[in-house]
Amino acid sequence: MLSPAEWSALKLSLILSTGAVLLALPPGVLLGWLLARRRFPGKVWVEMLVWLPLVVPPVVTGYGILVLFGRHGWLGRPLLEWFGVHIVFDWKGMMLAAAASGLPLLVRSVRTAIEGVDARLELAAATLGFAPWRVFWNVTLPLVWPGLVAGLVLCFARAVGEFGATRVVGLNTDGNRTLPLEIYAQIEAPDGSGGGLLRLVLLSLLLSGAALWVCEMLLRRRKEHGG
Amino acid sequence: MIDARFILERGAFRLEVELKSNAPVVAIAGPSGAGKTSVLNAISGLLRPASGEIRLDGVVYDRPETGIHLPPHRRRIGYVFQDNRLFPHLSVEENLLAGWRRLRPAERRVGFQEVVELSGLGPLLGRFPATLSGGEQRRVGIGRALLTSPRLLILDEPLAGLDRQLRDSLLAYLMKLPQCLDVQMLYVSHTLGDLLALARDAAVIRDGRLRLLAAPEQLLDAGANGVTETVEAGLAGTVAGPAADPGFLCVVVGGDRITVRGPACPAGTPVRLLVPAHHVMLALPPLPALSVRNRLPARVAALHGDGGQVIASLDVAGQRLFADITSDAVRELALRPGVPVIACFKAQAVRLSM
Repeated sequence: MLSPAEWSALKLSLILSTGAVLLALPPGVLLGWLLARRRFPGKVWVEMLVWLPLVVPPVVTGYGILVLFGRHGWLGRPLLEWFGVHIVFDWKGMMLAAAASGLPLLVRSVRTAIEGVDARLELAAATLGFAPWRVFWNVTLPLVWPGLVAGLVLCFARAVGEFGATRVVGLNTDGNRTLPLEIYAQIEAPDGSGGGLLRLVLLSLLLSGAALWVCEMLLRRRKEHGG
Repeated sequence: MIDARFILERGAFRLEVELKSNAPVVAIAGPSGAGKTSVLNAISGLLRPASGEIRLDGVVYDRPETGIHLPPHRRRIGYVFQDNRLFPHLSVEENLLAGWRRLRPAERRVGFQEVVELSGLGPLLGRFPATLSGGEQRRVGIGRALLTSPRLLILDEPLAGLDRQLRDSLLAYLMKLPQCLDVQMLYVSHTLGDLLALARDAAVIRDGRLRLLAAPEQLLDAGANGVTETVEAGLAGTVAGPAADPGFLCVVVGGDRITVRGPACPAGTPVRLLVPAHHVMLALPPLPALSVRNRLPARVAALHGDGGQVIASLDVAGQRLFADITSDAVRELALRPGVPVIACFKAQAVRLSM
């Protein structure tokens, strides 16, 4: 039904987006919590930095990663020298790009959810002997669960749809294209096989729809459990 | 034993606190907005004092001058909040056990079954906080704090916002705690009735200072002009057996027997009697024949108030009883501290709590 190129695009999209969500999860939750609960100097700047990938053209995000993680970049050089890891022009860089573009949505969701949690509950937990990390793990996190799931799904959907940044950072060769990249490649192709294009478009719609459905199911199950 | 001397500052607000007591129940009174809750927050570690020192059982919890501040989760101070603050995502049982689980087994002085029985929460263990009534939520809040085996139990207006019947049953529950569980309680309220029924020591906030009073009854002086609420005494007694009439019980208070309305219960059961001051009359011996069943020999300890209303604080075999009388009566009976009197109240006027 699907051509090998389409299969590999679907597979790569799924792997990259899932990886991007996992990559964005720890910093996303941490940043969301920091922005919701802590006051610290430079908070405004952190906030802007988090927002950046959402407001600048994705190509610029990709270029930023290229500069930072390139062979001679601030982060790229030590990574290469110490660990022998090279990120750009590779699936790792594409995953990072997808994570960066999804992060703002995750942070925003988590932050809003944490702000909705009564801080007085957290104080009460402290008087019951909960250390700060335990307050977060046992009280805050279970209460922000719906917001977190929503944020993760948005992040996933954004990662699946990411085009510009992954295009800049990744290899645009057969077997190294995500769904959007493959779609674009087919549009550009001189022989323009219309049927394949339609299949890919439907596939990406299906993927986003599935993500939203999973999110809905998780939230509904939670509600039924009386939480 | 609480021993605190500290200063709280926040903007223009400044409160000087001096509180040292080993009484099982220490009351803190003061008008709304005087900073009662801030004092509690400082003692529990949620708020940092500007200077001074907070000690509990000899251990320094706060001393800003030397940078000592024990974080709240390591203080082992149970805190019952005015707004309960139960965890909405946990069942009653999980809420109760939240703090208990944080203790090492050796630190668990208060047992789960004990608290469940004492607070009557057995049937509610599987429920979630949102489905509980106000009184039930308060009981879970108290039980949850108790199960941390606290070194100090802080209660912030635990009876506020509850109806009369709930207040009585919760007050009775609270009165049992210090002896049952051996924990010092810091009790904040602006209701004189609770404070006088419970506390052996009282502090009051006035003009930006919190000071311990020589005796809890001095709270009556503090608000004497306009003690409009019911002042109540809590007497400890032991059931002696059923009285002559069905539905009534004989209870021994000090060395004397009195009769109260109450359900049959075995002799030897310890009980608390709540006696409202306006139901108590004073007589000088010898007494004529009276229908009033209860006549306790007492001694006037102090007279509070000066206008029309006087609250006489009485010493009944070492316990406190209050009588709400007129100043005219005070003059006619020539009452003053030290005068022996007989305190009389009807069996029906007493509320009994187990």
